[in-house]
Amino acid sequence: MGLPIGYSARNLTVRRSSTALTAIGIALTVGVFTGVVALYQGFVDLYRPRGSESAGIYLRPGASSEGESGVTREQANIIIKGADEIAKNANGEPLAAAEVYLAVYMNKLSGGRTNVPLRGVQRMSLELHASGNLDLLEGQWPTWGANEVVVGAGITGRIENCRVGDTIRLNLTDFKVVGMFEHDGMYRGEIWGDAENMMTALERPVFQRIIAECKPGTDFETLGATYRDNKQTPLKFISEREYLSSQTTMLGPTLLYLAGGLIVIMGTAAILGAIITMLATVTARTHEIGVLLAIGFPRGSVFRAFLMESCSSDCSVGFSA
Amino acid sequence: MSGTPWFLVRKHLRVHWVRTTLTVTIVSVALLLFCILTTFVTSLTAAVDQAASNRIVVQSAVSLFVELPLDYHGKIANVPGVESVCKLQWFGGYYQDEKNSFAQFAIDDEVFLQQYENDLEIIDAPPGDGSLLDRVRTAMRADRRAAIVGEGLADKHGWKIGDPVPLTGKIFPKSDGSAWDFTVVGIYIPKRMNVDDQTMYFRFDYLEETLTQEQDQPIGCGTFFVHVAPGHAIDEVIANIDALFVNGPQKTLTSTEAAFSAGFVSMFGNLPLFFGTIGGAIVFAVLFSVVNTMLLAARQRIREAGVMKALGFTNRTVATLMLVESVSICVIGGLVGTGLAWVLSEGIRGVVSVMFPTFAVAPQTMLISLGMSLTIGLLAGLAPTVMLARLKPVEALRSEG
Amino acid sequence: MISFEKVCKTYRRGGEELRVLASLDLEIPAGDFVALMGPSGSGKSTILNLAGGLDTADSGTVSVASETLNRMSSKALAQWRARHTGFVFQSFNLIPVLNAVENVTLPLLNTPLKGAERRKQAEYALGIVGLSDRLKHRPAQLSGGQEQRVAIARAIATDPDVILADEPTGDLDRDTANEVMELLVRLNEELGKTILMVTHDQVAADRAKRTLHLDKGELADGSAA
Ligand SMILES: Nc1ncnc2c1ncn2[C@@H]1O[C@H](COP(=O)(O)OP(=O)(O)O)[C@@H](O)[C@H]1O
Ligand SMILES: [Mg+2]
Repeated sequence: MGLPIGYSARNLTVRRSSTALTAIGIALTVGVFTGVVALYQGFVDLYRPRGSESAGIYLRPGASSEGESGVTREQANIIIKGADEIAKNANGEPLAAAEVYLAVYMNKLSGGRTNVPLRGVQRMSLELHASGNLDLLEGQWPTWGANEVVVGAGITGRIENCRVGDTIRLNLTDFKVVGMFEHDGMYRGEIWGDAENMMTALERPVFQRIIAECKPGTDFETLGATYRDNKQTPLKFISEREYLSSQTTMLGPTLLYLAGGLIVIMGTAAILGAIITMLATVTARTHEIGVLLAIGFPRGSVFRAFLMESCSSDCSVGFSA
Repeated sequence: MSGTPWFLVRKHLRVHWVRTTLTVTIVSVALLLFCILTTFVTSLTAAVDQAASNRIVVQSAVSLFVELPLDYHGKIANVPGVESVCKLQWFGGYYQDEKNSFAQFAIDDEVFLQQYENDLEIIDAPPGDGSLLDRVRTAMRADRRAAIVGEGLADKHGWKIGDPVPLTGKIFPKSDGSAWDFTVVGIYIPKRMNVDDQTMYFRFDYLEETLTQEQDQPIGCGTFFVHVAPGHAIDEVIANIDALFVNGPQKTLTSTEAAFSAGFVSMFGNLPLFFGTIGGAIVFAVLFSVVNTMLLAARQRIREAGVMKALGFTNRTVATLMLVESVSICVIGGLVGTGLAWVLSEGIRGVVSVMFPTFAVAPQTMLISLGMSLTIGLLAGLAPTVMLARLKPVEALRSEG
Repeated sequence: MISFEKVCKTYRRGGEELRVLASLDLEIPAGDFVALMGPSGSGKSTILNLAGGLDTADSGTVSVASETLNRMSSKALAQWRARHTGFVFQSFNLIPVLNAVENVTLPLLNTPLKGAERRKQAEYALGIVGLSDRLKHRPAQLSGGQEQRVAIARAIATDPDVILADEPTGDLDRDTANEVMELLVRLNEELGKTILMVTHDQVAADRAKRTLHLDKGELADGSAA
C-alpha cells in the first residue's frame, strides 16, 4: 500500500501558514544558492579561454599588461614590415597594427568619474579584430588622420558624451564621436580613434602594443624566447589567448580565494538553512508520521510522501525565485 | 520571591542539541560572512574616511596613467596657501618573481617624511643618535637608493634594516634588463588607515637620474601631494592650481586626498553594493531559518508552558525563558562567527593584501555583528514568546504537543 | 476549603454556546478527600480547573483556601496557585527535558527557599512517594506509575493546601493505580491535604472519603455536602 500523492498536495494547502514560513525559508535558501551558482558561473566565465590563438601580441619586455607597456615607432616598423611570422591579407599587406592604449577619466551618466579604455588603432586593426564580430552599429568608422572616434556599444548608455554626434575632449583636443560599434569581446567597452591623432593629442610618443595575425603553425613559445633575447628589438611576444588569460590570473589568487571563500560560506549557509527548515517540518509532524505508521502505511511510503512534499515546495519556490 | 528556572534554557539547548548546533552554526556562518564582507568594504573606504584633511592631490585630468611635467612642482609650490609639495610616482615593480607585486612609490624623501609624520610611524631605523624618524631622515638623505618599507611587507620577505632589495621594473625597466637596487633604511607602521603596511617608498631623484641616463624622453611625475597651509581655504587652493594649467600642456585634476582615494574605491565598481546585497540576503535568510526554528521550538513546548503556568509561574516568566533561549542561541552564534572572523582576518589579509592591504576586522564591525546576532535572536524569539505568553493554561494543557 | 457558590461556566466556540456549569454549589471542607465522578463531558475537569485557578467562572463565586479567585489578575492567580495548589494530571505532564528531582524542584522556585533547601525539599518529597533511587532519571526513563509518583511529589513539594487530581489513575494499570491511590490516601490522612480527585474508576473512588456524582453540570441529589 503506497501513500497517495494527493496526500502531499492536500497537506501543502491545509498547513498553509507553516508551509508559508517554510516556503519563505526555502525561497531564501534557494535565492542564496542561486547567488552562489551565479557567482560560480561568473568565475567560470571570467576564466574561460578567450581571444584568438593565432593572434600575437607584442609588448615591452616585463610588461604584464598594455597599460605598463611601450613599443617604440622603430620597433613597430621593424616588426610590422619585417616579421616573418605575420600573415598577409589578400592584397599582400601584413596583418598587423600598432595600437595606443590609455585608461582615461570620463564621467558616468549616473554621476562620478570612471576609467574608460581609449585605444588608438590603425587601419589594419579593424581587419584584425573582425574575427570577434566587429560590427558598426551606427555612423561610420573614423576618418584616418582626423580627430574622430567611435565608441563601443557597451559604454554608450553609461558614459557621458558617448553618443554619435557628441564631442569628447582629450586634454586639449576635441574628438568627434562619429560611430558606434559592437564586438563580442572586451573591445565593446572601449573608445577607438586613429592612433596617430591620439598620440599627438595625448603627447604620448610610443605605442602600447603591436597585434598581428600570425601564420598557421607559428610556435609562440619558441618565438617568444627569441624575441626576449633579441638585442635589437627585445619584446614580449605571446598569443592573444595567453595574454587575456594572464590578465585574469593577474587579478589572481585574491579574487579566486575571495570567490571560493564566498561560495563555500554561502553554500554552507544555504544547505544548513535547508536542513533546519526540513528538520522543523519533520519534527513538527513526528506525531503525524507516527499515526501514519500506526495505521499501517509502510515506512518507505511515508518517507516518500514527505520527500515529495519538501521537493514540491522546494521546486515551486525555486521556480518563482 | 519567584525565581526563574534558567536551567530550563540550558536543558532545552542541550536536549535539542541537533537543533541548537545547527542554529548556532548557521548564525555564526552568516555573521562570519557579514564581518568579512563588511571588512572588505571598510578596508576599501578606510583610506577615504581617514584621509588627511589638509592634503590635496594633483594629477592629470586625462588619466591616472598620464604623467605631469616635472616643472609643475615649482609652479604648484608658488600657489598661495601651498605649504609643501611632494612628488609621488607609482613604480610598478616586483621582487624576484612577478607574484611578489606590491605598491612602490618614488617620493621626495624629506617632504614626504614631514607630510606623513601623522600618518606613519617609523619603528626601525639604522643605529645612531636621535629619534627613529631623525635617523631614517639622515639615512635617506645619505643614500640615493634608500627606501622605507611597511612592517607587513618587511615581515613577508624577511627584510631588515640595511638589506638590499632588488626590484624589477615593469613600467620602468632598465634597458639592460637588470633590477633596480634599493636599500632598506626604515620600517614603518601605519598610524592612520590612509597608509598601509604593504608599501615601499624610495627617493624620486634615484628614479629621475636613472631614467635620464636610460632614455631620451622627458621624465614626468604621476601625482603631486600638496599640503595646504593652515588658514587657507582648500577649495580655493584646488581651484588656483587647476587654473594654472587649464591651457596645458597637461590639464590637471586636483582633489582632496579623500576624493582621490574615493576614485580608487570607485574602481572596484559595485563591489561594496554587491557585498552588501550578499551579506543582507544571507542575514535575512538566516533570520528566517531561526524564526522557523524558534516557532517550532515554541510549538513543541506549548504543553510545557501550560504545566509551568499550572505550577504557578507567571506568563512573563514562561515567555522570558523562550526569549532567552532564542537570544542565547543567536548570541552564541554571533560570538562564534565574530570570533572566527577575527581569528581568520590575519590569514585572509595575507591572501588579499595586494588588493586590500588594510584588511582588518574593525571593532565597530564586530560590535555591529554582535548587535545583529542579538537582534536576530530577539526578532526570532518575538512571535514564539508572545504566543507562549498569551496561552491560556487550560488550553495549553489540552493540547497534544 | 473549596467553596463554589452559584458558579456558571459557558464555553463559546464559534457561534455555539455550551453551558457546562449552571449555578453550581459545592462545599469541600479542609482535610476532605472527594472523588468526583460522572460521564465524559459532564464538566468534571472544568470544576477542577476553576478550583485550581487555571480558568475563571463567568458568574458566581469560587473561593479556595479562603481567597476568592474570580477577580484576580492572571499574575496574582499564578502566585496564588504556586502557594496553595498542587496538580496531578492523567498524562503526568512532567517536563521531558528535566530529570525527576529537577521536575520536583521546579515549583519550589516560586518559594523563598534557597538552592540547597529546594534540593533537600525535592528529595524529601520524592522520598515520600518512594522514588529516592530515581532522582536522576528523566521521564522517558521511568514507568507510568513512577512518572505519576514523581508528578505527585511535584504536587506536594511546596506543601500546598489543596491537591487537584484529574483522573490520576486513568493511564495506569490496576496494580500501579492502587499504589498511586495508596499514596493519595496517605497524603490525605498523614499530611492532612485536602484532595479533589476526578476519576472514572470506581475502585479508585472507593478509596476517597466520599464521592460526588456529576451529570450535565449538576451534582446528583444529596451528594453536595
Ligand atoms: N475550552 C473549551 N472550549 C469549548 N468547549 C469546552 C472547552 N473545555 C471544555 N469544553 C466542553 O465542556 C464540556 C465539559 O468538559 P470537561 O469539564 O472537560 O468534561 P469532563 O472532564 O467531565 O469530561 C465538554 O463538552 C467539553 O467539550
Ligand atoms: Mg476531563
